[in-house]
Amino acid sequence: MLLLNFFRDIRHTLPRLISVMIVTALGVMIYIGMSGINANMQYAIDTYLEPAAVSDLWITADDADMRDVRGLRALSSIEYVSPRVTLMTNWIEDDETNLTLHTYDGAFEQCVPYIESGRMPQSPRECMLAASFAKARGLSAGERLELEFEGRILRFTIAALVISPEYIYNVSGMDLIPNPYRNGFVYVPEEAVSTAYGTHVYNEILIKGREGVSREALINACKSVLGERCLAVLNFEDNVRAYMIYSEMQGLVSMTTTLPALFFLTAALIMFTTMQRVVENSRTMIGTLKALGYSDSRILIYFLSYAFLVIVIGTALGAVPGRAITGFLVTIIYQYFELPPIEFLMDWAALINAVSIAAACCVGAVLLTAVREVQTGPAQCMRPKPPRRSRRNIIERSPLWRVLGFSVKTVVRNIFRNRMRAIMCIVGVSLCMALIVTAIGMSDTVDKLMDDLYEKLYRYDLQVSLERMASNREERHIARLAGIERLESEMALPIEAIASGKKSDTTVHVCEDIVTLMVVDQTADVSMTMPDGLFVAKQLADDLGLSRGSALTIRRIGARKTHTLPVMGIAPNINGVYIGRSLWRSLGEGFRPSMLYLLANDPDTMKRTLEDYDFVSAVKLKQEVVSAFDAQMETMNAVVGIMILFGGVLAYVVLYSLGVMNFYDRIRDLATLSVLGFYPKEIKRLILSENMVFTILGIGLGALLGFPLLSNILTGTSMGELTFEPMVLPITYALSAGLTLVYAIIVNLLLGRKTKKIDMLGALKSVE
Amino acid sequence: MIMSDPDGPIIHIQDLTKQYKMGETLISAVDGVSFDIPRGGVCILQGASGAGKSTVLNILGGMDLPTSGNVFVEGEDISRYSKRQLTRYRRERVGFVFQFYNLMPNLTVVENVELARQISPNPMNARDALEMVGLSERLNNFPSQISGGEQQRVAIARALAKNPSLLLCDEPTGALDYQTGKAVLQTLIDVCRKAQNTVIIVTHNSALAPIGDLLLRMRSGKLVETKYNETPVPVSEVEW
Ligand SMILES: Nc1ncnc2c1ncn2[C@@H]1O[C@H](COP(=O)(O)OP(=O)(O)OP(=O)(O)O)[C@@H](O)[C@H]1O
Ligand SMILES: [Mg+2]
Repeated sequence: MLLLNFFRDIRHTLPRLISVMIVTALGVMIYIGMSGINANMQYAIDTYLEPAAVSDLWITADDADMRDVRGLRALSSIEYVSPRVTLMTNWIEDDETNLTLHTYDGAFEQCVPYIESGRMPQSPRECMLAASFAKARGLSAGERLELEFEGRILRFTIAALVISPEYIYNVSGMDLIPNPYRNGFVYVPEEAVSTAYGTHVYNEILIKGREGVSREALINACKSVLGERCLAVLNFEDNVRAYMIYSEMQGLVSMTTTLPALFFLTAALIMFTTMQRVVENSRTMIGTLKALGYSDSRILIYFLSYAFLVIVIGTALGAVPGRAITGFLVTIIYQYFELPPIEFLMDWAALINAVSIAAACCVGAVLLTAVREVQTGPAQCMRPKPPRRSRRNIIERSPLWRVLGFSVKTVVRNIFRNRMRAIMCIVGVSLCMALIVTAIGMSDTVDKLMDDLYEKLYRYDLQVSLERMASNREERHIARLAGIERLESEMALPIEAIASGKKSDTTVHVCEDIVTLMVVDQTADVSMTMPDGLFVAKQLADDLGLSRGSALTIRRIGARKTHTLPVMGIAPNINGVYIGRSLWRSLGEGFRPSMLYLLANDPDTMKRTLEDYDFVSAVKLKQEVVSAFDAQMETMNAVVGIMILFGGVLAYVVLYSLGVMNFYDRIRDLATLSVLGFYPKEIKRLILSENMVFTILGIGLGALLGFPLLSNILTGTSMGELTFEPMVLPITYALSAGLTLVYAIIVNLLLGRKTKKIDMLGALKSVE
Repeated sequence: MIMSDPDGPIIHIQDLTKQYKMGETLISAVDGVSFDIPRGGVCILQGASGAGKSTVLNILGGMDLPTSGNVFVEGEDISRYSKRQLTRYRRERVGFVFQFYNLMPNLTVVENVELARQISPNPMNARDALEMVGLSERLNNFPSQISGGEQQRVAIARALAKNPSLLLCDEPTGALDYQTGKAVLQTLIDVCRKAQNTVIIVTHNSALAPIGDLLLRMRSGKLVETKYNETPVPVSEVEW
């Protein structure tokens, strides 16, 4: 019988229960979705990167020999020492390519590559090639691969296509994001380069420390053995190519915690208010049951069934799309990284967590409200709850009060009487608003970035990449072409940038002394005079801990000579290091243009003209350069859409469930109004104006929350060199407010239909 | 038949029936009732529980529609009214007093009365209405701060403030104790006599039969007695 009553009872609270279920489902969904991503990335790390033994240190050495290696191997703090020769080569077919060649000695102890196809090389004539490069260039195992290194040709047969744990996110050279078409790596047996480089001399040593040895101790130990021959040490954490997946994961953590927490909190609050109402409305029932002799615990279980219902249905509804979100986003994230195929992991732990959090919220809400009622005596329960004491609120005490109409008064009083509900509604709407501001702000941020790139940084019409054979003569030839208004040239070279013992592989751009077309410092006016020092990309400066005035040592890859120069400026959205040509020449280095920036009066025609030159390898219009980033922003747009949707659902659920609650709470009052002869429209206005007050206050609060939320979410997001400066346009606030308002109006229209259901006679029959 | 005679009965009910369908069976809550109520008197509608009193009153008050029959109020057949016309009818012509007061808990005493005034075409001053029921001291209290009897007086004041041609009271003393009930009832009748309102008081209490000018008695949905009373007894003199 009690069960029957439960199902009859549920019918009355169903809309509210559904709301709680929806919010719970959303919380579960986002939580499972987000932590599923974490779990999957962690799984990738555990199943692939950990067994592959990623190195702790990449030491750049100056002619290290076997004595050094033996010295290092003797150290108790070190588990593996892998000396190797690393050369910057290019594929003979295209000298714009960068294939980093590493040797290995027999077997891999650390940074073990994953063989995607083929087999380990069996002779010094065989190599393992980066699978992504092979794919981009249509190469496969068994084909020949010829590499050029300082004028020599190294010939190999591709034995295997591999994925390497030290090249999970292979950014290098000119590209802001991994570009497998240009960049790759090759592993070859040590003997393969003995003629080109020498035998048993190495320029790089990989170190894997023993468990529990601190990074500092490890570095110091290595330095003490190598002494002068230790040129630079690259920490695992600073090695973007290997560490990116880890830092990406850390970035995700902020999203995985902030967003679901917001939803669970809302679910708990709505559950609390709903249950409070359910229990309050069941006072008579509680009293009757108690009078009939039901035990307290039986009655409590009755109310807990609501919680169980919500938990079961809510989590079930959330878990399935949550898993889908994980699947969707993991696929996207894996596209950024080069990883072996990894099976999709269902994050059971997250599910269990989500269920427990949801359960804690719902059961807690029920217990908080029900225990007190259940414990009061049956007689007291059967009597209606004494009405809440009425006190005058601030607005009432102000002189303004007299002027207000009664409907305004009821609204104001009602808001003040149900502070909890008012707060809930405002918070709910503000979350919606904040989510939408964040979502649209995200695209504002991207647009701003794109604008900066397009308007402030790239002031050229055409970007021309030159073949390696091109020289100043070719540059002059192009400069003299009809239709060219201005030409500036640049040379890009791969370098190592070293500062305070840290090392980063990057690119030096030797540009004109006065740049006007590719303006390194985007805040510069029409032109920018290169300073007597270096201009460094923000990303690189952060990695190496550089600030204005610090000293930075650069070394061309393969060269012995290093240059130490002061950092004169740090700029976002550029790549590597920029230096003026005169300064570069004064260092005793040569200049050969590798890139031209042009202003042309007809860029499209000029593009076609330039493409015909055999010393031109690529011509890109400015739009093409920028739109390359646009593609990357597609996923961002998906996220924006999803967040707007979530915001809407959240606002809907909060406003609707609380609105319905308010409606049923006051149904007697509303019936009375109806009996007194108020038109349905007037009654509707009364209910809705309250919601509108909440909506407007919520929008205000949400506008304040939006920016911090956006910053919080963007902290974890980066795209190579591009720096996201969180920014929200005023129009975005207006748009978000408009959208939130639309959501609120939809909810109110739905609520308004309920006024038709007011049963005058029924509501007047009894006190309950 | 349109009754436009200003001196005729304010209410003319003809063959009023109200049936409720409960699954297969039809329940006749009101079964062919006809009666007239003259203008400006106190009418007592008495009957046992379930007799159909509230049903008649609700139809009279424009809160419910009859299954068949006509209900003329001041010459107009409200049983033909649309929902909107009924609302307007309640708004402009009828005052209600309920067993459970039905005050707005978030409005003070005076605001509750103002509430009715606001939608009324020629309302009475709220303070005057409250003075009539003897509540001019508690104007700014909330309903939860005054007693049940006082709340019912506020409800009466609220109904009076609309200056309705018809005042309908369903068990106005049902939730009050004996003494308080009597006092409230006396106030109600006194005030209406003074203002010349037409009042219909529904009660199951047969002891109240002699206090009105007209007694209508119902049993099982049928009108069983109609009695005009030339000399109504003051409430203070009846005992139950
Ligand atoms: N909504 C309804 N559905 C079904 N039957 C109803 C409904 N409303 C009233 N009835 C029935 O109509 C009959 C008359 O009800 P009504 O409320 O008019 O009685 P009453 O005379 O006012 O009684 P009481 O003094 O107890 O208030 C009752 O038998 C009741 O069961
Ligand atoms: Mg009744």
